[in-house]
Formats: sequence, structure tokens, C-alpha cells
Amino acid sequence: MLLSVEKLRIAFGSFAPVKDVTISVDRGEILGLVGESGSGKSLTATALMGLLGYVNGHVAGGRILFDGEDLTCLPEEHMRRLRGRRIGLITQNPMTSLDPMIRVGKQIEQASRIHMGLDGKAAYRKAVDLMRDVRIPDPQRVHTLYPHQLSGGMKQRIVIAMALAGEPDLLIADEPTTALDATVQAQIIRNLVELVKIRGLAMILITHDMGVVAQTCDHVAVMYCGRIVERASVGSMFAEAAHPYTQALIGCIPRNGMRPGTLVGIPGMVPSTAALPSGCSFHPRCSKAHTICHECVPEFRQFGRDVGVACHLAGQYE
Amino acid sequence: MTTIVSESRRLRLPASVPTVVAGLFIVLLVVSAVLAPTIAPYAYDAQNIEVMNEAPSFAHFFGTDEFGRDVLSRIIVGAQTSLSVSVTAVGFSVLTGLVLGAVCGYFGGLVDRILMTVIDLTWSFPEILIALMLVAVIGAGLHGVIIAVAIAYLAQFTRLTRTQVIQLKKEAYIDAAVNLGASDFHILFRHLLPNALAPVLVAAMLATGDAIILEATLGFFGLGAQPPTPSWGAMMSSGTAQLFVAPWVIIIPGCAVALTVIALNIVGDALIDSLDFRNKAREG
Repeated sequence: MLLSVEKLRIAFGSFAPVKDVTISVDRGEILGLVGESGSGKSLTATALMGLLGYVNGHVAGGRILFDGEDLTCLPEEHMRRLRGRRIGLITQNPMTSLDPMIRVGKQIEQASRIHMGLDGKAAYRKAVDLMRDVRIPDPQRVHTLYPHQLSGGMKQRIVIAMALAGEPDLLIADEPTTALDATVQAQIIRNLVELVKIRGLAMILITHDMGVVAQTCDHVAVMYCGRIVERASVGSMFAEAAHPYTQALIGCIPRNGMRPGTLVGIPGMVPSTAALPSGCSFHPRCSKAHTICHECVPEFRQFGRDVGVACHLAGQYE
Repeated sequence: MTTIVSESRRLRLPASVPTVVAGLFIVLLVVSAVLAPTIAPYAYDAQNIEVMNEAPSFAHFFGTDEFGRDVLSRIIVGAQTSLSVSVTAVGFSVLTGLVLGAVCGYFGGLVDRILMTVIDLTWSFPEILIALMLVAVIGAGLHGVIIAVAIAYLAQFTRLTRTQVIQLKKEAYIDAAVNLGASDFHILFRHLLPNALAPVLVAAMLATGDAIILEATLGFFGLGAQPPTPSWGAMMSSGTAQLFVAPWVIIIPGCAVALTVIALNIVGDALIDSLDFRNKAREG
């Protein structure tokens, strides 16, 4: 495994919004990390980048094993050399992620200049190649433009090229298409998957869109209130989701030919991480909740090689 | 995907009549300051007892002073002194202020608190007082004045840069640079400072006007350029004795200072309106 996160716990002082996250991803694989806003997806990504310090948080337990090294004990200077070089991050908002004063081509060159010491010509050639890889038309010309001269989709392609410039082994894409038009979303996602497969990268795709997960990912981990509630291969999850929350999420995907009024949401709201319900965090919104769900936090149990679920009822009604 | 590029925007000064006139005045001033000895009709130190305190005429456009020296020539050469001193001083001030403000704003902590306390302290004194004290310590002469004026304006640029950097630090593109593994040095000098520069440049333009007044004041007190080197402040100072005999000797350099400062302020204001391109770019 290139990356395996074991029982990761993230805390701000004594408050822990992410508890017991275990995920892993290998080269050539795409792991979908799914959940509603506030479930701790982005915070987990921040921990992987070693940037919790910037938001005054810290790793309170568990390990992040990346290529055999535990990132939680690396000194900052060492961690800085991994960021952008071996782990690339694609952020949610391409509109604000580019420096308005620097030509986009130069921004793509940054990682290769910082980490690989490429000189002007080599860095330029590489930037143009990367722009071609992310399907930017006329890369030589776009290289000289400023961010405000590009559309949102183009900016996101530039952001992806920036993340690829350090030739990372692991790519973390944090809701890479949330800010874009639906038509552009599909193109960008397809392009990302293609890049991952061709270059043999490992990718963690953070999203709340189960539709995107179904089309792109190999494995899925579903997060709810800072915990992984279900982890499975895409095939088995969409064939038979074990956790009621996952079932509900899959139920939220609109399908072609659906009759009006048949699309269901999940009742209730995501509870505030500061005031979690007792027992299973999902029980107030769960249609199958029993007494035990109010009382005990369900343990994460493995069912076969492929599926793991944190639900008291899992395995009982199969 | 067909149109990816909007038409490019350029920095454009709003071309109002006062701005154009003020801009032309500054250009004229700078050109005459650079070419001073060549275009001055007389040598600035050529004395002529026959034409002492003579009123403006065709021979002496701005009249002559108590030694019969041509006031126009002295104004032109004096422009060289005034402009070079204030521009150099503000230049030093801006460069130092940018570095200090960037470090304080970016790293914060103890260094920031100590420096900001010192800077707040200097703000409780008028600049002229600080400059006077500094010249007293460093010694009179142009070097002393340059250092004094530079230090007098340092607080302003440090504060401004610091505020800019603190605001810009929260921008997503700074996070993006951190995510790329950029060093603090890279983030500060490649991303934060270029974005913080525009308002600092405008403030520098306006401060240059103030610095000309400060330089003239110090010259008036005899602390700046030493005779016979002309400076506008020193010319006014020597003109006070002939105020009723030859008022042009003091009025002309006074007008030179006033017009220059007004022109710099008008252009500075126009710059404020047009240099706002960062926000314009974001809207687009």
C-alpha cells in the first residue's frame, strides 16, 4: 500500500472532530472519500498534507503511513519537501486558488522549480506538456495569460496541472469540481481518472457526489460525523450497501427516467460535531434504528475481504 | 471550451484634465531636474553685484536674490536636490518598510509585537520632530536629511505592508502555494509582496510629496543642503531677510514646493483609482 491511514484521530485541543479514520490506497487506485459537509473529509486531507498546524489542530492518535514513513512524526522541513513533490492537492475553488499577479504558466512551473530545481527552459517545456495533458488548448498561448483571463474550467485544469508538476505519487482531490458547471465537471473528472491510470498514481477523491464515485472510484470510504461508517469496493457498495447511511446516500442519486417526486433525501440534519448524539451518530436520522443504536457506539467490523461497516445491524438482516 | 480567454485588461489612468496637467508638470519637473546644469540659463552660484534683488524681468525670469544669483536657475538646480533627496529617502523607506512589514505580518509573534510597539511610538511624534532629532544626531547635510526622512516615513510603509500581508495571507492561492511545498521565503517574496505592492506604491507617491515639504523644512532650518548648493527650503530661508525688498526670492521656491506637492497628490489619487486592478481582475 502506498498510503495507509490507521485509526487517525484529529483534535483541536480536547475536541476531536475526526475519530478513528482508517483508509488505504495504492498506486493506480482511486479511493472515494464520501460524506456530507462537516463529516471530516477535508480535515482528513489537511492531516495527510501535514498542515493541521495551520488551522491549530493536531494528530491526536493513529498513524499515516506513506510509502513506509509515518507522516505524523515527520519534522516540518521534511514534510514540506513531500508536499507538492510526492503528495499533490487539488483544491475545491479554482477561482481563488491562483495568484492573480502571476502568469498561469509560471504558476504551473512552481512545483518543478521548487522541488526539482528545473531551470527556465526545462520548466517551461514541462508546464506546456502538463497543460497538454490536462487538455488545455493552445498551451503556449495560455502559458502567458493571467488567471482572470481564463474560465473556471480552465482554471481548474491549471490547478490540476500545478498539482501534477511535482510528479506526485499520491493525488488528493478535494471536491475538485464542486465550483464548476455540470458539463465541465464530467470532462474534468474523466481527465483526472485518465491521468491517474496512465501515470499510475494513487488518488483520493473527496466528494459528496455518489454518482461521481460510481463512475470513477475503485474503493469507497463513507464518512459520517468524523468516523468511517462503511468501507468497500465500489462494486459491492453499489450492489449492496451495508450501512443505512450509505444506502440513503445512494438513494439520493438522481437517475434518468425517475418519476417526479421519487427522489428522496435523508431526513434531519448532520448533527453539530460539538454535540454528537449518544451511541451511533446516525441513529436520529436512521430509519432502522434500534435501542442499542441509542446506547452504544457501533464498532467497525470487517465482513469478508471487501466490506467493513460500523453498524450494529450489519450482517443481521442479510 | 471555445472561448477561454476574455480580452485583456490594462492599467489605465483616468484621463481627467487635472491629472494630465499634474502629470505633465511632474514630467517637466523631473526632466528639468535631470538636465538641471544644462538647461539653467545661469550658473546657480554665479553672483552678480550689479543685479542684486532685481525683480523678475526677461533677463531673469524669476528675478535675482541678494547676491544677484538667478532665481530660475537656482529653482531648477534646487529641484534636482529636492527631488533626489525625497525620492531616495522614500525609496529607502519603502524598501525597508516592505521587508519589515512583510516579516511582521507573515510571522507575527514576538518580533511583530516589539516592532509594532516601536512603530506606534514613533507615530505619536510629528515626522518633522523625528527628522529634526535624527538630523541633530546624524549631522546636517544631504546624507543626514535622506536618512532622517527615510526613517520618519518608515512606520507608515511598515504598517501598510503588514496589514496587506495579514489580509492576503488568508487568500486561497497562498494556501495553494503552501500545498505545493513552497518555502516561507518563496511565499513572501513571490506571492505576498507582489500582491501587496499596489497600495504601497500609491502611498509612496503621496509620501514623496510630504517628503518634499519635510526636506524643504529641514533646508529652511539650514540642516539640509549646505550653501552654495541650492535647495528650495534653503532658498526660502535666505529669502526671509528680503521679504519686503524682494518677495519673489521666497515666493518662487514656496510656489515650487506647493505646486510639486499638489501635482504629486493629484497623480497619487488617480493611481488609487486605477491601481485597484486586483479587485477588478477578480470580478472578471
